[in-house]
Amino acid sequence: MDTLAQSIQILFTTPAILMASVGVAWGILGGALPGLSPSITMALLLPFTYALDPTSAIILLASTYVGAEYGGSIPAILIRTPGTNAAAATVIDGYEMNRKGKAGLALGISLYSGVIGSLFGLVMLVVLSEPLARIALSFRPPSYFALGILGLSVIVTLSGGSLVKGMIAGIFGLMVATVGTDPVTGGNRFTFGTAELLGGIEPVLVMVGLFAVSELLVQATQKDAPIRVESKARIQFPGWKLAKRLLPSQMIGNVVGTFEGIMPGAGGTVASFIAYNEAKRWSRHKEEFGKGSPEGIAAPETANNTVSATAIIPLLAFGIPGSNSTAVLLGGFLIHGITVGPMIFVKSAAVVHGLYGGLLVASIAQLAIGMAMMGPCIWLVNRPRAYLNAFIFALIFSGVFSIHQSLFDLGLVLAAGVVGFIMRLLNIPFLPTVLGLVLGFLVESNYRRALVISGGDHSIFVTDPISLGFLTVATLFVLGSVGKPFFAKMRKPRLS
Amino acid sequence: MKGHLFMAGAFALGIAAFSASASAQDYPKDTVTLITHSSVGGGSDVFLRELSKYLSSALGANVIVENVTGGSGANALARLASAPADGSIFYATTPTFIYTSLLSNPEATYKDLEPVVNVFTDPEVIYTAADSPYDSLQAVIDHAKAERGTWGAANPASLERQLLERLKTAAGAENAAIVTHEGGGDMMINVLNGTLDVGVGEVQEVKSQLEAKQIRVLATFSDEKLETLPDVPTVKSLGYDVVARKFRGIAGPKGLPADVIAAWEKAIPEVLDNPEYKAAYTASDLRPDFIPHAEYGPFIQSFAAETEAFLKQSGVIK
Amino acid sequence: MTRELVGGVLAILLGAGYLAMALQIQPSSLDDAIGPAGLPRVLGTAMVLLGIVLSVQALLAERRRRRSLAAGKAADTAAEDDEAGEIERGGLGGIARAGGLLAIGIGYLLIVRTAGYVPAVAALIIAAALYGGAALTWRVFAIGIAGAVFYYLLFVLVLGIPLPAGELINYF
Repeated sequence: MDTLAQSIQILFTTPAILMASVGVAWGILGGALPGLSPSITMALLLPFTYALDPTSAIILLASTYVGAEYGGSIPAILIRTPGTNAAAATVIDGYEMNRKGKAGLALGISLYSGVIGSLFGLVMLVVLSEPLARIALSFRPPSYFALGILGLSVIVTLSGGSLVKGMIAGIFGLMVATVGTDPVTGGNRFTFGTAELLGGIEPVLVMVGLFAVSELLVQATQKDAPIRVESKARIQFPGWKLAKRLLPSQMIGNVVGTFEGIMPGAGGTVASFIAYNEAKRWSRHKEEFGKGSPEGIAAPETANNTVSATAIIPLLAFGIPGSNSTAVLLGGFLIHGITVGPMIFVKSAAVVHGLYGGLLVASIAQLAIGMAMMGPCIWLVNRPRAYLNAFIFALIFSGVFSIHQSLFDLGLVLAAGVVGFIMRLLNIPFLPTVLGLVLGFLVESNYRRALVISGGDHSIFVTDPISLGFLTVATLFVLGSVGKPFFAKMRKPRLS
Repeated sequence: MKGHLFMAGAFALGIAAFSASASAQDYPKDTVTLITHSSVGGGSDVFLRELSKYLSSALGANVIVENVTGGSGANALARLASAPADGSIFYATTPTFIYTSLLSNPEATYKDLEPVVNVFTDPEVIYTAADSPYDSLQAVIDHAKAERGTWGAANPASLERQLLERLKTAAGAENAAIVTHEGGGDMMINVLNGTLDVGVGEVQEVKSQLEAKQIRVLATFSDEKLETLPDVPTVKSLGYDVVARKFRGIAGPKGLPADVIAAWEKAIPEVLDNPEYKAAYTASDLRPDFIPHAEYGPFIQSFAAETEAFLKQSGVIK
Repeated sequence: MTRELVGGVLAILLGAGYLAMALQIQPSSLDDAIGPAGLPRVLGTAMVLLGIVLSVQALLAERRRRRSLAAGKAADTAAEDDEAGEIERGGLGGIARAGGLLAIGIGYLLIVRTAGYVPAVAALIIAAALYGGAALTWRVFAIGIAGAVFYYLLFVLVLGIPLPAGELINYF
């Protein structure tokens, strides 16, 4: 319990509480602005951390991460635009609840689930760091490939009516993911000679385009305002009964988030989608998913907030950042001359304990600041539609421009918006595209890497136990969902 | 996601950067801006910020670091190529700027910049997991010859990969598979869990694992032994003629006036001799490697020619 | 043509175009067994095949519908409803209206470098609000300018992001 005592002591001897609160507020703001990812929001603070003591700097950055992962869900629910990549799964049911006039409740569920995720992740970070780090270490290229395949299998759930259309959308996403530098040779693919495309097309640009711009375009097609229930400008927490119902999906989010968090490269977006999928599979109210299910918000939001804490595990255990956000956090350590890695627990224990304490304060601050920000947010989206949409349009342009100060990016976002508009016109779901885009690189690079290691022998995917496990689960899941209607059809004639 | 773990935008540090372009006095300017393609907290960024602390007094100017990220350095190159050649703006060179120039045909390449001076070299080392069966580079090569070898490089087209390909040829280890990754961290996991026999990286990058005794360094690609790792032999001394100089220096826009270059040639050795700075950079395993202006241009040229030959020979570029 | 058929044909075209580009990827000696063109070839082929499946499905459905119409059965209204999809009753006019909004966005891209961030965003908000049906009064302009200033404060001053200052400022 030394750790605990030290953590608490640090809380009251340094400006930790202040730093955690400022970080969370800043994070929610950055996360809520479409285009500003958690890592950019954190990176914006980096220059200021030069002036802080190491513990304060790290707490500030880690709290920003927590706030940003939560903040992404606010526009996802209110304006159908995920503020962060990881909030893409929240759009599905969050926006549906909003359309039914339950925005306050949707935001309440998201906030409450986010806090549960942050706290659970923190407990994992403090208590189970070591065994979890060992699990992360046992992941080899074939295991990552299989993990990506498991993620892609969720396309079946996201396809809606037609699996063929879902697969078209998914493959389109994978195609977009192949743009840029080849993961093995380093040569260029599909870059059309543009330097801007070398690093690939960032998922955030495609998401903002597919979700937000296409939504604005769709709304422009309709002369009259769509029927939409006004939401009360008040946050509403779930009652006892609903909270009990949400518990299983939050547990799923916690578990999925913990495992995705510790694996470099997987991250919050994949965690959200897998958690959403699992929550649906195990739910007693499957039919509500996609139509405004509270569990459909709770699962992904718990998952991505859990990730914001557990992603720190590989960083501390091996000095390896598993995501953009933890890479910025690593930058924060480096700036203060702290070498991150296993020795950090010995050499800079105070900073680590401060980080734990700071994350605890951040979870509490998340609740308080989140509640305070809700009212104004709901008020904002209840403004007249013409103005609201004009402001969203301007917000997208400003937020996206902030990423690289590039007009090219803005062009990409508009293009993605047109693609999204066409897809919606043709009833092709675009969530599979998002999934393909996020997972394409992970799947391809690890598939090829595994084969380089095995000398071209495909049996590596079966001899690696983790890979075998994931591939089996993915196969069973796809066969189960695709097979069900198929078997039902076979049986029908006999019955009639 | 993708190779670029860092992807943030460009953030000017300090508003002082916007000081008027008026006063046309002698060098140094009031403010000298150092541009890096690395984002805040990245390798080059930390190097520059550390350097800028000591450089300010040596140059007699206010030195500011600005991060122009994106396009693997292409954005920073473009920014430099269009900047005034008055000594107010410089770029931190690393082999990345050569690789990006060659691989991706950006609008501005290394040829549009004028190398000023070199400051450091970063030694590249071959390492293996602490519990691996290999106790020397020779054991790794023998294994690769007899059965199969898996050697890791952090990025697909990089100096590290080039070194491994050359070592593979020099040793005749045909069965060595060179496995590329999405950055050093990714590769480190595969070295630690035994998927890879060895990995290549900068000492700075692997320092924390080295301190924790999770890895062992087998050999270094530098031309001389390292001060911090005196027991580690050079690859060359083991009979394989593969030497690398991962340089860190300064370049500016074309046509820099002579007094600007003279000021830097005076300032850098001065800074390198500063005892306080010396302690800092020795601790982070940077080797001072001052190359004056007259030699730095040809050095960059030959490095680029060698890289280009390698990339062409392997068919990555035409 | 039904939506399904359009979707199928688009998928075939997209897949074929992508495949053609994938076939042009040059091999290099640093290649692995799969190579940079490996996955793109699979994806392009799969896209074409799926496009064909979707088109055939659409044609078969269309034929079934015609037959049932011809047979004088009550028209398959359920299928019609299914197809209405997310964008309802907009029709071609609706698509044109969406194109107008897109044009406003492209206009912003064209002027922001020269006009600078604040004037461009103000213009964007005003144009988009008017386009969305806001009444043409002084209010629109006031809100547009106030909005632009607000975003400027948020992004430039609070977040510290250098948005384009524009060239107009040089004339003052």
